[in-house]
Order: sequence, then C-alpha cells, then structure tokens
Amino acid sequence: MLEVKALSKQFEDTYAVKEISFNVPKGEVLVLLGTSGCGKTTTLKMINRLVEKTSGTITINGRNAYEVSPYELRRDIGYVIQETGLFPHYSVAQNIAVVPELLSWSRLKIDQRISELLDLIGLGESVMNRMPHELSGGQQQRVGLARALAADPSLILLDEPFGALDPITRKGMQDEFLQLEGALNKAMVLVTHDVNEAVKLGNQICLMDKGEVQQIGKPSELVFNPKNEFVENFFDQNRLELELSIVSLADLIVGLKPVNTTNSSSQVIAQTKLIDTQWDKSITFELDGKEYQVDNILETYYKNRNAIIKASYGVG
Amino acid sequence: MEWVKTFIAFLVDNRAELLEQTLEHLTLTLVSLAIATGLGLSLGILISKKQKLASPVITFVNAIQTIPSIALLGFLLPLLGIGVVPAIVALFLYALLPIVRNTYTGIHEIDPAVKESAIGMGMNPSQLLKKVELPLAMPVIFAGIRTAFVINVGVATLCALIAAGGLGEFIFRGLSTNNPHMIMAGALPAALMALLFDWLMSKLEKRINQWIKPLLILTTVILISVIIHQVWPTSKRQLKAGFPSEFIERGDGYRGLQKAYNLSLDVNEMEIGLMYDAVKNGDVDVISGFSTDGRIKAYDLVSLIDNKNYFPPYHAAPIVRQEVIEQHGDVIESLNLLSGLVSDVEMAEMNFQVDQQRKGFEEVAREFLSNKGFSLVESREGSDVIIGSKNFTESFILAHLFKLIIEAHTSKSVDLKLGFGGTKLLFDALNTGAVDVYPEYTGTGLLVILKQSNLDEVVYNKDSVYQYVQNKFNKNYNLHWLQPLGFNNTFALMMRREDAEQRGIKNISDLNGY
Repeated sequence: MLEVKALSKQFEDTYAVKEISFNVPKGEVLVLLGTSGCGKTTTLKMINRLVEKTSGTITINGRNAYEVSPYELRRDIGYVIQETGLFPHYSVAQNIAVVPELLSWSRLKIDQRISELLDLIGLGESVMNRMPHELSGGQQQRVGLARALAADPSLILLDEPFGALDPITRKGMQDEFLQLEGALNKAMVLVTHDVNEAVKLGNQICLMDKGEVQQIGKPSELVFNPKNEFVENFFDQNRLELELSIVSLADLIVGLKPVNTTNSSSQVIAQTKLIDTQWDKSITFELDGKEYQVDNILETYYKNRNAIIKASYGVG
Repeated sequence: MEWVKTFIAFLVDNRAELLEQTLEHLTLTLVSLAIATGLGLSLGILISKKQKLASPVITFVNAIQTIPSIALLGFLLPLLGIGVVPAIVALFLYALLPIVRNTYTGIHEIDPAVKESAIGMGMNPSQLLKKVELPLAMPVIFAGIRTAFVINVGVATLCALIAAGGLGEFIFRGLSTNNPHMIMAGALPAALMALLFDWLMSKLEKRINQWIKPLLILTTVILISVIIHQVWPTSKRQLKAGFPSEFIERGDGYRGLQKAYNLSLDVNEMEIGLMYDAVKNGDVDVISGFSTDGRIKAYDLVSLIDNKNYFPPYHAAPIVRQEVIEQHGDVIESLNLLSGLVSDVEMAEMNFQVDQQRKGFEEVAREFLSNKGFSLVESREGSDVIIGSKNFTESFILAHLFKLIIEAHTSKSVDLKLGFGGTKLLFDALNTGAVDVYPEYTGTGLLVILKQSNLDEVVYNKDSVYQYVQNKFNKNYNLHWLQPLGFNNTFALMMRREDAEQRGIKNISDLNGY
C-alpha cells in the first residue's frame, strides 16, 4: 500500500532523514519511534509532502506521490496531529466535512458520512453542532480522527495522536484505536516517542536515531532481538512491562515446557485446555491429560524468562 | 438646563448646515476608510505570507502614523492642493496602520496546529486564506477597522482647515469666536458617529458572511459617486471663496458681508495660512485677506474696493489690564513710544519680509525700530510682563515690537506667549491675567468682543471707533487701549489681479454677477 524507498531529507550539509525505507501493507500500522529530533516527524511529513523530500521515492497505492499536486495528494491521505488542529470556528460536523467539501461531495453524502463517523468514534450525533472548545481532550482527538477518516482515505498519518492526553484517557483511546485498526483495514503510519504505545499499537516499529533507521521489524523482534546497543538501551527502561505486553500465555506454557514435547508452540496451544485463569494469582491448565498450576505468574516469567523467549522468539 | 435649551435651539436654527457638515464628515471618513480597508487588508495578507516584507511595511505605516495630523495635511498641500482629495488621502494614510497591523497580527497569531492541519488536509493557499485564516483573524481585523474609524472621525475634523468641509467647520468657528454651542454642535455628532459605527461594526462582525457582498457593492457605488463628484465640479460660473473660520462667523465677517452685498459665493472654510496660496494656485478665486498682508504684493493680488463701506477700520493698538498700568507705569510709557509709528506701507513691508523673504519675526522688528532711531538692547530672561499674540504674521511681529521697545526703555523682562488660535481665546487670557498686553484691532474689539451689532451707532472713522472701544473696554472689562500704532489693517476681499481684470471686477459689489 505505502512504499517508501531510500527517502532522505537534507538541510544544507546535514541529513534530517537519511535513506529510510519501509513498506506498510493494508490493515497494518507502522510506528515511527524515537526521541525528539530523530527525524520521525520529518519522515511522516515527507509522505504527505508537508516537507519536500531531497531524494528517494514514495509510492501510495502503486502511484508515485510526486505525480499529483500536493493538494490532491493530501486530500487522499488522512492526517491526525497531537494538538488536533480542529478549526475553532467550525462545529464538529463542519470540521469532519472539510475534506469531503474540498472534494466537492454532495451535501447528502457528506451528512451521511458525518453520522456514520460520529457513530464509529462513539460520540453520537448529539455533539454534531458543538464547537471544538466545548469538547474534552479525548473527544477532540476522536473528532480529529473522524475528520482524517472522512473521505475514506486508504492511508492515514498520525503524529503523536495521543501525546496531549492524560494517561487514563490515553490508554482508553489506544485500546479503542486497536479495535478500530482492524475494522478500518487501512495502512497507517504513527509517530510516537512512547515505547509502550509503539509496542501496543504497531505491527511494525521503525526505531530511528539521528535521522537513520536503527532497526525495523515486529515489536517482539526489537524487544527481544535488538540489532545494536542503541535499540537494546532504548527498550531497557520499560523492559519487563514491554515483554509482558508481548509475551502471550502460549509463550509462557511453551517456555515452561511442562511436558517433554517437540511440538511447536502453536501445536502446544492447540492441545492445551485452560481450566482456571486468575492472572493476578495463578493459572491452571490441562495438557496431555495432566493438570498443571502456575502460581505467581510474574515471578515465574522472570525466573524462566530466557527459556520462554528462546522457545518462542529464538533468542536468549 | 438653560444651556441645553439654547443648545437645542442652536441645533434647530442651524439644522441644514449641521446636516451638510455631518454628511461631509461621514463621506470623508467612510471613503477613506473603505480605501484603507481594501488596501490595508491586501497589504496585511501579503506581509503575513511574505514574512520578510512584514517588518519594513509595518515600520513604514507606523512612521506615517507618527506624523502629526496637521503636519501630514501640510505635507500633502504642495502635492494635492486643498479640498476633499488631500483630506481623503491623509485620512486614508492614518487609517492604514491599524488595519494593516491587525490583519497581519490576526493571521500571524492563528494556532500553527490549525494551519498545519488545514494544509495537511489538502487546502490550497486561497482555500486556506478564505476558510481558515481570514475567518479566524476576523475579530482582530474588525478591531483594526473600528480603531481606524474612530481615529478618522477625529482627524477628519482637522480637514476643515484645508477646505474639505466636515464637522470641523463648526468646531473651528466655535473656537475662534468662543461659541460653546457651535463647538458642541461639531463635537457631539462626531462622537455619536464614532459610537454608532462601532456598534454597527460589532453587529456586522457576527454576520459578515451574509453582509459582505451587499457591503462591497454599496462601497463601490459610494466610491464611484464621490469620484464623479470630484471630477465634475459644480457650476463653473460660481466663484469659489476661501475664508478662515473666524471670518465666516464674526460679526464683520462673511455673514454680514453676504447680506450687505447680496453675495452668493461657494464658500470653502480653510486655515488662514493656506488661504493666500489657495488663491494664488487657483484653488479658490476670492479670499478674505488683510490690507497690510505682505503676500498681496508677492502674489500679485488685488484688493476689491469696499464700495458700501462695510468693513470698519482696524487700527492696531496694545490693550492692557488695569493692574499692569498700576504696576508697570514705565512699560506703558515705552509702549506709547510706538504711537503712530507704523504706516500701512511699513506694516505691509514687514509682513512681506517675514512671509516671503523668510526673515525671523524678531529680526524684522529689530530692523524696523533701529531704522526709526531707537537704540535696542539684548533680550533679558524672565517674565515681568507677558505679551500675547494671535496666530498670524502681523500679530507676531507686533508682539516682538512691544517686547523690544519695553526692554529698551525699562529694566523689565518680557515673556512672549504667541499664536493664540482665536480672538476670544487671547482676550480671555488677558482677562484672567495669563497675558498682560497684546496687539488688538479696533474693529475687532468693536465687532468680535463687544459684539456691537447695531453698527449705525458708531460712525466708521478712526477716532470714533477708537473712542468707543476705549470707553466700553474700560467700563465692561477694566481694560485699556493704548495709543494706536498708526496703520489700518482692514479686512479686504482679494483676487488674483489677472483674474479680476479678466472678469472686470473692481468693487465687492461686482462679485454679484457671479
């Protein structure tokens, strides 16, 4: 869906972004991760040409992004930013209608689309005529997302979309986003500096530093199999939390090897029958006709971490 | 209450003129504002897009704003002459700053996130401007337009000085003849106009989208009609007159003259200093000058003969307060040395030297006295005696003559307070003790101060008028007229010599045919 090849941005002698390449298929989220100034936002803005590239190619749906005018290009790409950028002089409905109006949709079609989207983001038609300042931060961000989705673009760019929200709202929005992700079936590129968010929301993470890609891959690859010291250090601070958000129950069972089996983890899972799961205390499961109980999951994971990772992710 | 009653009576009596001046004032203000809004908006938008231009443009319009309004009108005189056009240009320049600056600030201070998302959604520059930047900057832009209007309503009053009309006519005439009703009749409508417009704009701001088109059409129609009005002047046959506000209003001025000679001139009110240049340049055909003015000779003007003896004699003499006579006997003696010393020709010559040869007032006065055989001394610091003057060349020169002669013949120090804007202001200053002596004219004392309306009572010759004002001032104000200086500086209507000869005009009554 989105193909980026050897994309660079040069300011005089220094590279803000150097030769970055990635592919984002339909239905997947690529997270551009890194500290501020690493070039992640510049990369994102080159995709919708808010920043003009120095070299490289961008292909969207098989078409070169430089074949069309930047205005036409941007109308086909959803764009969500941290500060929402909602128009303060437009109502919620008018805000959502911006791109469809730029594309000269009929009034009827626009109105239908507005109620559809309000329903999708869980706000309901009662907010339609409210002004942005009358909404909470979370509601504003939802409207921002609805606005980006309005013309049904196949690609959505999100620049720290949950960065300005309080931790509780942020977590709720991330959960909702996860659910939407599957339903929408769009290619998305999301910029963040929050490793937890990256691991939670990304199908792929592209970790950047000083304009260059340090590692690109699935979250588990970056966490468990860091390519270099930078990547390793980057995830070290929240390591346990991150690992636990990646490792599944199946990984745990396979890693603990309660039975001598040469079966793969998926086969093990298929044979396993869960009897009781009390995540904060213990889990009980049946495998090969025997009942097993694991007490204190956190401690057990920590003791057997190497074995578990090795079994599921092939590294120690 | 009594004051309110007489004020309302004044308004009713002068309603036609009040309406005319108000309309003129409104036209000046609105036309200049419309041009300033169009240009100011464009300029503001331009510099918000081209940041490099912002600083120089803002500095430039700022600089215009710092020029005092009277000075700006003065700068425009040699370029655009007098009348409505330079007035509109000046008002336009004044209105520019608040509109340019507010447009720029309004657009510049829009949340960058809003602009970014607008561009990110695919708006092109003109969509961005129309849908986002202008609507969001609108409250700030409107504040600029409202400020500009209020400034213009104020500055437009000054345009009366360059014959552009407006409510300033009432204000300046009221000031020069000390008529509070008349001042108020000019000031009140101007203030109401500013308030009303402000209120209208606050309503309009909320419905700008519905009103913008009809408003643009209306503005264009008004602009075109004003331009047409300017290009096709009214009847060529009517003579244009340029008179200062005091002359129009005072008892011996235009109102009486009009009745006495049955005149119908197209009267333009203007500042006294502009009058001579206006007639020289052909902006007007007739002016009300003084018979001893140096510019009559310099500009080749001709005085029309007062064949109905309308103007009383105007012999200049110092007038002083009783206390001054008591305290400074030596000062009075020295001033009396000037008695009969200055002839008409000599006074005109002194005026000529100042107005045309650009000599200083003191230099001219000093030369004159030296030639008359007086030995003069250097100026002394201090203010034992305070001498006042009105706001024209001759009065300035006379005040200096007084100062020099006092310093030469007494040990007193003299301070000058020159350039009072009207007879009444200076006369009041004398009464309250702010000024001890000033040069006054017998005719002015008779008609402006004593408001002697029944002129038949006083026979119009030098001595009888002098005696009359001397007695009356003594009795009414406890003031004294000292010995007359000699010359008679009477009012006179003047025209360009060539023009007068072409039209065959010699006497004031010849103006009747036009």
